[in-house]
Amino acid sequence: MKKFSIYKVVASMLVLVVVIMLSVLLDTQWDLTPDKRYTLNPLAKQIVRSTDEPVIITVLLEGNIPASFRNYRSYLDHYLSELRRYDDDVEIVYKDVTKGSAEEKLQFRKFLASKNVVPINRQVSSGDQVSQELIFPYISVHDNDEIIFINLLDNQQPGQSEEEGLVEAQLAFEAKLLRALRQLSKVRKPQVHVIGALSQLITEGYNRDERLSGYQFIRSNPDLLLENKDSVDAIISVVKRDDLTREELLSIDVVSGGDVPMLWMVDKTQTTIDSLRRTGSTMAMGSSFQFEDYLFRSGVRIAPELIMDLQSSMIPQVVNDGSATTQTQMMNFPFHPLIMSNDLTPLAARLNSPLSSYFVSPLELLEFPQTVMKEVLLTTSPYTRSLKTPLPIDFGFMQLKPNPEEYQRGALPIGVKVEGRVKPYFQNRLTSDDKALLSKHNVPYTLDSQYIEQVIISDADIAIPPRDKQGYFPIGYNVLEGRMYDANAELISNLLESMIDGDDILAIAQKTSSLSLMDKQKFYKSETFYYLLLLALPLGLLFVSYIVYHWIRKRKYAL
Amino acid sequence: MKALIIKEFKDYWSNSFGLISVAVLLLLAFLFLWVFPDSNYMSYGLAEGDLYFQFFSYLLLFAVPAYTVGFLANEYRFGTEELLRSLQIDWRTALLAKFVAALLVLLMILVLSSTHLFVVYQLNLTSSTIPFAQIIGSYIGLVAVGACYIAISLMVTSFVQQTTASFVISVFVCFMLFSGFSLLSDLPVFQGGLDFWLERLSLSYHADQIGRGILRLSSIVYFIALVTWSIWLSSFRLNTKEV
Repeated sequence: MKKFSIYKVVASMLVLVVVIMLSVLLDTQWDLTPDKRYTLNPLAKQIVRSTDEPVIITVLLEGNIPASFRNYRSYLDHYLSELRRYDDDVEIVYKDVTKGSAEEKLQFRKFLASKNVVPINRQVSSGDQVSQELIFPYISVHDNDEIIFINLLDNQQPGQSEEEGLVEAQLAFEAKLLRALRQLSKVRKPQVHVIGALSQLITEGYNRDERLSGYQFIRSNPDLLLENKDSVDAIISVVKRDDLTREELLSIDVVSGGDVPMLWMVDKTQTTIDSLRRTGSTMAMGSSFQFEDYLFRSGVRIAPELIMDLQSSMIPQVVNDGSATTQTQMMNFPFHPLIMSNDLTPLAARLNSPLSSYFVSPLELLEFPQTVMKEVLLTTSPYTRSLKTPLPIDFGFMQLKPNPEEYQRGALPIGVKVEGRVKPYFQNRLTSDDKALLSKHNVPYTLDSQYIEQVIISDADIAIPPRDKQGYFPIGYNVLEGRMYDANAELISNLLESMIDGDDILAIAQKTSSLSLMDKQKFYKSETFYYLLLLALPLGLLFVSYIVYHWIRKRKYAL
Repeated sequence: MKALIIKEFKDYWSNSFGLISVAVLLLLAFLFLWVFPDSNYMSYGLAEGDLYFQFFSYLLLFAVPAYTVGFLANEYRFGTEELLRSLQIDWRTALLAKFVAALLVLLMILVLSSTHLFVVYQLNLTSSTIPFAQIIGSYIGLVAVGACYIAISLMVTSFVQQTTASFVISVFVCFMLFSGFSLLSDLPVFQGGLDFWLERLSLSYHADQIGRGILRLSSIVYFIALVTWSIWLSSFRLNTKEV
């Protein structure tokens, strides 16, 4: 008889561990989920590889988290461990903000607050106890030089349930993380020059906005733009009242013609809700800007019209119901359309909500030049009408119910991307002053055709951080409604990202999820039926099988 | 072999213990997945199978040793161990038969509990397609996790004859294998180094992966290697046992 040997057992255990470790080294995975949500995107691998220094990813969504967060948290764990498995330079740290001494917690909270990391309050149940917990739905990504905080939940839209918001947030996570990793891998932030009369307002507002923290906005002028033409990554020009000067246009032409993308946001019609509210009526006047010729050569024209859209944001109106008292009521204002993004293009990726806009003109896309490709990025709703300017406006029309028959112009383009070859705008037009400006910066004016990549949006307010007596509001804040339209800032961010880094991350952000929400109403409506199906059916089958088996057995072995 | 498997399977159902243990298991699954707050599908909010698969990999941690230890412990209890030794059946065959019979009981539990998945996908609000590949993959993974628990329980019982002690030790070993390595990997001393390997040695890591619908080569090797090793060790122990 063989003898039991402990050495043999230990040796076999070692073989077992070695076999398992070898399989881990040669590991490969088959993601059976329909949307391949657990597979690292090739772009993620490429971006992780491009980071030179070790990267530490700290997950703050720790501790006692609500049940509804578990799927997202478990997805986070898997995604981050895959990232670490792919590259050893990535370290994952889990930090429970609620743990540690009072002093440590206070210091850390202060640090988080200084980075605009604010907790949310959620009800958490544990056994019979229900408590309110502060949750930090953030991760931080940092190397030796820079720390970037990613809000894991900022995609939730008004009216969405928490579960819907979490599904959206989970979808958006990968793109957010890749953006942060790409930002870390860059030696410097991309430089966006802002030019025109509103450059100070735009520069200050954009540099303050966390959502645009990946870019450095520089208030520019013709000299600065020409001087730094090799380091400019993009140009923004927001034109509301004042035309661009000839020098500004020349510098834009030279730099953007040198393969630097450009973003135009232009108000063709001069009118504001403030003047209308002050006097009760106003005259919307069309402007004629010098640079319109410049846009025209790429086959785009801003029509001298104003759009009225049945899908619009609201303004407060004083209404009198016939009694002595008056009250303020929020009413749709068709001159403030809610702009939709074209979901087919990555540029408008994951703009889940409409954009807020004010007094918008339609864009006309011309058939020439053939060398320029035009892609519509933003449109109104299909229920529109457009009125020629000059146009007298008062609030009288708001007392009448809008007639849908009048709103039949369909979805009108508001934002368009043009890309292709055009003739240099200043060809045969250079004056001695122009030449002097160029020679001052040692910049030759090329007479060859230029390759341009520009986005033209026919509303300046879409991108201007609003302000009142108390100060500035973030981009997209509708002061009249008191509501935030996140999509406005997301659009600017997406456009800059697409034009500077390409559409690769935006294409990831565009993916759809196969995660499904639970139809709770259906369950509660037929609760008894489902309980029967879940408990009575399997137990019934079990007992019946048992009884039948024993009955057969009894008969078989009966004497 | 076939006759042995049928004999073991029939033995399990010959008394009320088999019936009651499976019924309790189904009741627990119902309570945790649909009634108890915090752990139920309503608070989870998603009509996804992963909660079901992850919960069952925990539930089987206690349930499988509870019924599996009986397959071998009863041989000691009723003295049939001696009979087996005198027959022309080697211990490896006998153990494999017990393993397969216990696996059949597990499959029966999973078939009966599949109503949970049916209801989950019935309550799907946003999508009409059922991810069959993901479900089948997760079921294969759950069966593999259960197979590991069975093999470990048989291995422990081959060393410990007393039923209760055997059950307690089996649950302990299964738990250590399931969560022990994973908990060890969380210790600061292993962070940034051995934690990766410790986590890969943990059954919970592989169970979790498969529960989500991710089939890994390392998980397949892990399950096969663990089951083979446990059965080999049980047979080695029984073949070298002095009577």
